[in-house]
Amino acid sequence: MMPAAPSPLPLTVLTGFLGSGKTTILKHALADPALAGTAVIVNEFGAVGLDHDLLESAEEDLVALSTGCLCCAVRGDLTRTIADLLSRRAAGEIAFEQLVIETSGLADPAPIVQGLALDVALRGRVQLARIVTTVDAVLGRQTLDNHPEARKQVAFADLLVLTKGDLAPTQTAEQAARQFNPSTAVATTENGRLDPTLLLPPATPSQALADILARTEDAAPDHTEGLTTVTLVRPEPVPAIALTLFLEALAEACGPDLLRVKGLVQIAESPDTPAVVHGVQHVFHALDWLDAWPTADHNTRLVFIGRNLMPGWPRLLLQQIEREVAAAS
Amino acid sequence: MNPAELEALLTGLLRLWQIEARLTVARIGDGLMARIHGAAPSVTVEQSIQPFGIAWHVQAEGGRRLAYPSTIGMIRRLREELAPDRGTARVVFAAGAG
Repeated sequence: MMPAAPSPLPLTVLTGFLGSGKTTILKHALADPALAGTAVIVNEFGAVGLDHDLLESAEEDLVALSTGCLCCAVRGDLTRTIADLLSRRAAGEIAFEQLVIETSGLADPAPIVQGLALDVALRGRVQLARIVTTVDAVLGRQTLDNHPEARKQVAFADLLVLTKGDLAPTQTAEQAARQFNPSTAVATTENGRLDPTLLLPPATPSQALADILARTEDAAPDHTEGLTTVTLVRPEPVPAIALTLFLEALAEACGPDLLRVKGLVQIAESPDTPAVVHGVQHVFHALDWLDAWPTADHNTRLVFIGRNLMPGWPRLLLQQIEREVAAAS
Repeated sequence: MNPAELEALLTGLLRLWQIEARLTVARIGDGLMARIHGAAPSVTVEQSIQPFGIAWHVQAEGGRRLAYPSTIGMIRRLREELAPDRGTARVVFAAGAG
């Protein structure tokens, strides 16, 4: 009998604009025992500003911390760096149970997440747990007004972290950020400290997703670049082939303007075990099947974040494709 | 599909591609026909029921009338006619853990 494949390691992407507090959060979190067994990948060592008393050992490209964390610098290819870490873990040279990537302040999270999903060397070995985006309470609104990179980082977030709340009220920054991602969960820091478990996978991922979906409503386009959130809710199950064709049609129509798709789908062929749909632009993770619906709500619920999406349009498109599938069968 | 649904489907595409155009939709026999005016070029989109299922026909002004057996094909052709410079994408499914 073939041995069971090991579960993929959860990976969190920590992103946010320059100076929005990612490094401060990471610095505190790395000192917390809750993050023991975490490998952190950052752009440069200098960016983390590691405390001396945290350091246990250092190689050329890897720093071991006394809390059991590892820090690794990325100078080249991110996916190759992760693959190297995984190989060293498999060889017993290093130990960790989850990964956190801190992106640079100007990074677009899309290619990072797509690279993780598509790289052959990482296939089945890591799984995106969540994207955490920091927004500065002091400068957040201006940053979002002036920098498309920051807007995109917010649009991709599963969790928004409002930082520097000790310097300014967070409401203005939160309001500005919610224009680009109204459904995401929000947390705040206290003196730069974030509950470190928020950098780890949610304890009940399906419930966390259900909570996000339940509070998502259609949102009007923002004034800067037409980013819109559109929801699709329907009680009828969706044939698997119609779902695939629907996602194809969305990608064809929207191209790179479709930023994120996430949701739970009642598949006609397996209505009691919902499928988790999770796409970043045109790259979709393999469908993840839950054992059961996380709540009493068994409706298909999909959330689309993109530019210039018309409310109701995804539902109409899916309906039309279902008709084609039915007519052809 | 009824005329209002076809109009909404095409309006959603025009909005996605940021194209200002006028749209008229009418029933033609058992099918539907939409004309998109004011864009360059003007385009006619027809939907009809054929023995093999639902068929789409798309014809740009001065071009050939071509048939498409799927909504995806219709969208692709419309984009090529109305928004050829816009980026498109093909869905890629990442491999799972198994």
